[in-house]
Amino acid sequence: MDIKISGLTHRYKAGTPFERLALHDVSLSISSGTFLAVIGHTGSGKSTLIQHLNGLLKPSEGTITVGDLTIAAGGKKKQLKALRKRVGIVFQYPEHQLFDETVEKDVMFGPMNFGQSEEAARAAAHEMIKLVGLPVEVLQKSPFDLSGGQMRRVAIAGVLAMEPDVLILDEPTAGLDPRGRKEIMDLFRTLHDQRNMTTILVTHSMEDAAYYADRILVMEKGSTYLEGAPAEIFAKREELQAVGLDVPETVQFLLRWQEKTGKPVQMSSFTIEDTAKAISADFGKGGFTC
Amino acid sequence: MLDNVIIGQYIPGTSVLHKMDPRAKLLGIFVFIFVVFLANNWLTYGILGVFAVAAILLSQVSLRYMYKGLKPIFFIVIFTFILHILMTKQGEVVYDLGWLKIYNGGVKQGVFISLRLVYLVLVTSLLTLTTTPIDITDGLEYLLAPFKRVKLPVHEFALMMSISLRFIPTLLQETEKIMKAQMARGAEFTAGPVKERIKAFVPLLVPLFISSFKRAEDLALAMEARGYRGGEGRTRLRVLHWGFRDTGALLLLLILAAVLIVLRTHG
Amino acid sequence: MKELITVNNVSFQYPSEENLTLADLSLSVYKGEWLAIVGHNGSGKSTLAKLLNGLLLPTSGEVKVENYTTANEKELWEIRRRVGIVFQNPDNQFVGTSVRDDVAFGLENFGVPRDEMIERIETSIARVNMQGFIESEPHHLSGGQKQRVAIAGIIAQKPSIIILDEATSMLDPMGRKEVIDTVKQLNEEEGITVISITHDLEEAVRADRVIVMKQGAILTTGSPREVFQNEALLLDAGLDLPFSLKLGLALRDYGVSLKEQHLTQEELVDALWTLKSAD
Repeated sequence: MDIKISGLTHRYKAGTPFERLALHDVSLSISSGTFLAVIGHTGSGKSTLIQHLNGLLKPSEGTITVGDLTIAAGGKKKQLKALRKRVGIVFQYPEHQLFDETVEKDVMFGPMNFGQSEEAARAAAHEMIKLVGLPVEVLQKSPFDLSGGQMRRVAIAGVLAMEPDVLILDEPTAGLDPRGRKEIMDLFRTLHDQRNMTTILVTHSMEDAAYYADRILVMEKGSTYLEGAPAEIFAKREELQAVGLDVPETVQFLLRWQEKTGKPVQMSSFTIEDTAKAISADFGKGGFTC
Repeated sequence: MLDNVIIGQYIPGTSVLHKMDPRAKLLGIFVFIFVVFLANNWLTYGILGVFAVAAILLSQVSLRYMYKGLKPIFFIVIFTFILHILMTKQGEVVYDLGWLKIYNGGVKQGVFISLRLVYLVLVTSLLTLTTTPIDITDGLEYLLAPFKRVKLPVHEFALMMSISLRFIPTLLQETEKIMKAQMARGAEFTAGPVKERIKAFVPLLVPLFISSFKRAEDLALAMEARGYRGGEGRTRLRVLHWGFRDTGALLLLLILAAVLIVLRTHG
Repeated sequence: MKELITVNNVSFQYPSEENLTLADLSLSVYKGEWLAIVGHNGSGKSTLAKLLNGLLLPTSGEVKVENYTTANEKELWEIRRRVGIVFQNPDNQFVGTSVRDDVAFGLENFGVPRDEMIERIETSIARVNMQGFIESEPHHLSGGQKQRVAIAGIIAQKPSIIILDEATSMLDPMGRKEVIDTVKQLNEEEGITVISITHDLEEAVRADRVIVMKQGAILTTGSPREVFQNEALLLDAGLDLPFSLKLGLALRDYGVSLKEQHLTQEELVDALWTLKSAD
């Protein structure tokens, strides 16, 4: 589902002495099926931006179009709910939103709010629990008897069960250990590919942005600062450093290597494997041991 | 609606009232409540009025702000006024509708009681407007200290108050976060009949309770790690300074009380 | 090196659990070192932290801090003054209504006289670079700032040891850097011993010594160079590898075989360059 944002401005606490410009004239197109990473440090407007995409915040100026739905300043409430059905959002620490007696009921909460029948919602709950890698037995358990990592998966299943076309992830791996982080991110990438979703990932990790996204948006002080494919963005190290960000580790390493050899290294993929491959090219064939 | 309630809100400032010891202000309020009940004629109510206005001026809180704060209680004031006009049958009849007679005693009584309410609200608001909640807590802890002897947990009570004050903004932020997360899952908190609306709050309240318990547990652990073991043997950073102005203010109130006792109508 | 903490054959079991959380664990912590404790969730590392300042008492065995033992309730207070813990959630350990009040909290508990308290609060807040925020309320501070206030609260107590119990895991990269830099400074300039329980391997690589835990026991201990040499063991502990190690292994797959593992990017680049020059 295509997303188009034009001239979006948001003022917090408009009309009071505490008024603050959180977003300023943001325009952006995200074509259907894109995996977009939004980076920028705390307070750059990332969270404000994504909350507009499912109607949790209303624009002060400008419009947001998701598919054939357009939200403008002063839009109607009914429209907001329709928007929320299309756009699912996994907040930071999503396990903090669990509330129901059983995992099954909790996962069914979303679909039923959007008018699904009980059977359909239950079917969705079963499907999604398996999808996030949990055994179906947990469905009858209380979510509060699960481990932290399992709770997070349940919460994610609860958002997926609404079958959104667009999935927004607000630092979905915050607080997890490295292994848990990788499992969750791999899950989202697989979902994205299999279900043909549009995915928007808000992250502080340049590595995640580099490995998982096809496009990157850099926010700074409520405006779009840079936008493009990862290779384009990470070729601009100075611009990134100017706003307190940096390139991923792999790029940092390639840059160091480049400095030594004096030869530019081609950078289009940022996985560790591809970095190793690029460097090994400098070593000729056959391999070396010393 | 809640934006208009000014009791409980603190406005930073440097006025004499801001600088007063919270204990003096608390005691002052206590005395003032008695003094208000001493007034029973135009003169004494007038004197109280002058006193209240003088206090507001001293606090440097804008009159308009005080007026805004009074708005929510206007309804109660008017209601009390009408009630007294209808119920009191003293003095001469000033208005006669046949089925309804209004006596000047009733009008007088109505005005007095309304004024009493307004004075009380104004002066109590001044306490919270010029004193931070934590200073009020400190003041209360000191004033209640003698009750420790009868095993009243004064220190624990004060600590509880200050921790609650500390966590109110945190819990408000948390509430907003959970509300948004549930709204993103299609929950609605504002529509539908009352019964539905109460039910709609379950997805908000359960997570809020759970996170609050978790916070309480973490906090208890952190406090213990930092050597907390009750009020025994504790020193304090916050000390209150009782100055001449505090003694003066209380004396002034006592003089006011004496004047009112003399000037009030006896018999 | 002077031994500050001695853990002797400690086992610990939570009343509600069937298995031991810590099983017959012994370790020593030395003065002035930066000790990183890494391990998968549930390896018992946070429980260990709580045993070190007597928030939990061992089911069997003994924990001693500078010759005080946590088993003796009277000595517990001496231990808690010496061993400060910065916990994971910045919000849930901020007790005071302002930065000043929060730093004061520990000092009040330990009965420090008021004049001295004021002085110590000033210096410790300056030490963590929070001078401009002394009157600030917690909800106006970032996570990293709150954690720095927690550190100020600890150093005001003149401790010998600071334990970071996953203290940076809820922070953004900037907050993480603020906190680590602050503690690093205290470690280097004032010789405060640091025990950092962390998932951040890049941080562990920079420690003086690393302990790897698995299922309530110590799997291995040594310098980062020794510990991170053994990739099989790290994977067995459910840990990821630091970046330079991963890249080194990937390079081997592409036929560039280095003799040993390198912990930092600088080292790895230099080693590769040497290898290439020898070519």
